[in-house]
Amino acid sequence: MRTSSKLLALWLLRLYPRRWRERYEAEMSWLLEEHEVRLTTLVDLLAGSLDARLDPAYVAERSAFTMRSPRFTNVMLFSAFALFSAALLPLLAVLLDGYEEAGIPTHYNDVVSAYPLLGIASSAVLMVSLVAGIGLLVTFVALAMTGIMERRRWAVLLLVPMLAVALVIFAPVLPLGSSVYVRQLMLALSGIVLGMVGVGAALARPTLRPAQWRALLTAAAATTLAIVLVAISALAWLITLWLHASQLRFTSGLNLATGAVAIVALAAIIASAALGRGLSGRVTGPTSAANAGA
Amino acid sequence: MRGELADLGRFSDPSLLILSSLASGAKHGYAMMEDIRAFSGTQLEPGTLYGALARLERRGWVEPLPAEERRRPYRLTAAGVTVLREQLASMQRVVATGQERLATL
Repeated sequence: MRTSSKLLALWLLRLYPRRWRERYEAEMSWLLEEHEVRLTTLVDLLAGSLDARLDPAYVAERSAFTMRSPRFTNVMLFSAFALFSAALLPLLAVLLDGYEEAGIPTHYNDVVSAYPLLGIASSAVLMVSLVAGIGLLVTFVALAMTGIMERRRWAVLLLVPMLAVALVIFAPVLPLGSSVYVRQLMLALSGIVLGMVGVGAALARPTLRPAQWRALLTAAAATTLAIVLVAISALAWLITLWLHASQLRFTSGLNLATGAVAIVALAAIIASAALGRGLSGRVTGPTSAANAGA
Repeated sequence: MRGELADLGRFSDPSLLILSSLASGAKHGYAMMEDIRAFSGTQLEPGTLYGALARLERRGWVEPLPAEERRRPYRLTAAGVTVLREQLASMQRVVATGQERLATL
């Protein structure tokens, strides 16, 4: 255990920027060999690597925060968000209302009472979806802020639709008295709109400074993490359903849910790829002076 | 009150500990961690230690000495001594004020 934690700690050094590693890796690895590696050590190294990547001193290095033309990455991220939101609607519909098929009630409450594990998995899906929604909003705010930061005063007007979108997103969790279908529809549609607005904004090449780009990527990382968690939870839910409710196999309701889960998984893959593309710095484009981080 | 060290954000406290440790002579990373634990009871972890060291080095408050195999000792520079003096003097004023006021309770 001790050896494996040391190996993990040494591996975590790879997360630091290349120039950092060239300067400090040898002495840090020696220190780690001498040091008693605990969980706090691993967390500290993780935080340290993130901090080093955010350090302006390493901005000159190609990394997520020095991407010169991340437009395609932004488009990928927001497309993934839109896709994810589109998949939420059928997924939530099946989760919350189910289908009456083959004489088997698939209503959420009935299924949960029969299979408590389903309740846990689907609750996780719903809760993390909410986190993803918040992450989406933060991402969009970060992107919209770029216009404001560039002193385009008209960009302040973006705050109005942003506020409206925020209200729509959070309306489903407020006791508005609307039907569950309406709330799901609002949630999914607002996510789709948000994602598409993000795609449009990214295509419009908003200028981002490195600090703004860092903020955007941090929010995108949180959202991507939420989407990945939703995908994992949804897959767990689907597998459990397949294993424990064999009567439902090949019914249209389960097929719909399977398709939705597949789309969520696809969105998770696209978002992860976009983020990975950013973090690896495999993006080239105009000079940073002309279009820093745009 | 916290002077230039405050610019280091979350690394300001670890930096003060590192500067204080190096005030007794050059040390490599592990020796610093052990020394800091001994005199302050604080266990600095490697990520924090090197995050702070990198910043101190960049500001010219500490400087690396030639590496001994994979260990590289660091020592205080004249600028680092000045910063540490100012910081400790500032802290002493706070301590003195706090103690005076406590004495009146």
